[in-house]
Amino acid sequence: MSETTLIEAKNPACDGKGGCGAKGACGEEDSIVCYCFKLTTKMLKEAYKKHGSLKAVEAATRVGSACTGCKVILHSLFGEAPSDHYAGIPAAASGSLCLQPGHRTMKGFIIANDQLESAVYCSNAVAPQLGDCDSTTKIDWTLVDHRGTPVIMDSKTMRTNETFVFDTRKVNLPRPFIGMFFVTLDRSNVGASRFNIYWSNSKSITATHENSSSGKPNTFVPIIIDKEFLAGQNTIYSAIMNPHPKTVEFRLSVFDIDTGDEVHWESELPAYASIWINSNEHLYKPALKKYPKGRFALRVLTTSLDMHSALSNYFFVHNRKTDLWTSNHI
Amino acid sequence: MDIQPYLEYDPSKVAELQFAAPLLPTKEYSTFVTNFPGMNCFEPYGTSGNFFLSFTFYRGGKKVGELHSNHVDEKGCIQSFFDEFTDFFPESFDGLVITHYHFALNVPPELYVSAVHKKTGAYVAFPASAYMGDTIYIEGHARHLENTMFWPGIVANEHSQESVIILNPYDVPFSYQVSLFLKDRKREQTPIKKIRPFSSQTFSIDELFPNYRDEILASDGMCSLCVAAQYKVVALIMFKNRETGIITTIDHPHSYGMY
Repeated sequence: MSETTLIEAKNPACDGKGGCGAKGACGEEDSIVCYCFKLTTKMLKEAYKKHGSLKAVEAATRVGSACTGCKVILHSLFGEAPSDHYAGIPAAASGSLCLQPGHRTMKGFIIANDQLESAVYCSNAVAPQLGDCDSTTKIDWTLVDHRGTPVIMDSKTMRTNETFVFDTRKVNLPRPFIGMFFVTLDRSNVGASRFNIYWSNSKSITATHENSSSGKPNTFVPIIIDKEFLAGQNTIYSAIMNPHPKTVEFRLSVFDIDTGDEVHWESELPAYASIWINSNEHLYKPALKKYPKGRFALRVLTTSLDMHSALSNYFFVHNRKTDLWTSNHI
Repeated sequence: MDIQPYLEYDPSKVAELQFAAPLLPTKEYSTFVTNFPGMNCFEPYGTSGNFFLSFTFYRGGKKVGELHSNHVDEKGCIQSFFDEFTDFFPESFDGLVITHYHFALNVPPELYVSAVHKKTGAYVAFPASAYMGDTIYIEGHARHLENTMFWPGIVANEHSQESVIILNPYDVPFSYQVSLFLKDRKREQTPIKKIRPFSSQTFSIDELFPNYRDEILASDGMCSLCVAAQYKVVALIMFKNRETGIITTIDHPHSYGMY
């Protein structure tokens, strides 16, 4: 296992016996447990010695009563369950700890072809410091194809701490398949539920999270492409999705980061439609043909510049030498 | 649309945001940062040259170097290569880089760390994690539980290994625990771990939960991870190819949203 050594043993400011040198801050005793009220481990231990119980320490210091983020540490430090400061407060007033009706919709890119398969994982786990919280909820999901047409819809009850999975390898889809996955929970608090998508081939797995309409009408694939890159082993693919119930016009612009020279394409995506582009072949190659010495980046721009019509984008890099894929969101 | 053109460089119009990222082993990877200041802008706003990055490198909690990018305007691109720090981080993942981004107000900056595997050219890019310095925003801390991060799905198989990277970009140590939510909804936790200031720790899931390896493998990925810390935590999840050690993903987990 990697480094788990106690901090005191390695911090040169410490004397190695749990005490600190002249400079003070080092080691667990001086680390802050409660940032809301600036309380260190040492202060809390002293308060516990004085007051005799965690409940009394809470009353005396207010530890754990604001953001509640330190409850897991309090439990570990004193072996007593911290108070539930939200008990008895209606959920609406306390910020929806467990259950509240709502319809937050999440979206992600799905591909099932001879290159990649996709799997969606969504967690209904409860944060440890919230204790025994029942977060049982209904999960509704829809898979739409590249035209935005729903092909599978379903729902189920997701129990507390359960992980939901949808795997393209386990359903009968027309192939090659490109599309978008929508998840809606019957609760308003997001909790742990923002889903991840895993894209895999027989050798590798790459993953990132759902990409809700991000409100970014002007995004860049953060990779610089020149002639040398294009002659190398990596192929870049772009996945572009329209998560809105209306057609969105957009512009793909491959521009030289030094001179501003650009080659661009204008197009539109119907409601809920998505596309998958071999960017090396269809975007960077034409730009390098026109400007052979260029160093290019790719911009995806919603023509209306309307943040409420922004497209959702992912980029993928396939290393042909190793057949490994990497990905991320933009 | 309300577009406010930027003024010439004026400190009162400039904000600073901090990002943290692990440094990949320099023996295997060439690492650099790419940033487009115009990202997220509706329009280019002029040529005031407001954007630059400062990098501070740490290893094992100690500062080992600094690097400063060129200045660019919002139409430009910043690329900063970390190759000159090759000697400091040859094999391990214990390096940390803290990036201070000096940017014009109203431009939400994002920057991506890229790494190229020297032997094969395999390319991985991931967003550095913004953490707003060590200021605590009580409302955000409570409603987003920014000390509690989740990652749904654990797909570990014979080809891929999943790991958790914990970063401490603060000047105080903090403690944290990693929770595993199994397919049968049971929660298992590691002992409390500690991380010293300005350092990075990496653990594979196999290391964190050695007794649950078979259960995870048999679960079809229907497990989830949680990192709960004393302080707002900066964590990342990494996937590596077991055979070659090539990284296929680094991305951030999500804070527990109570909104």
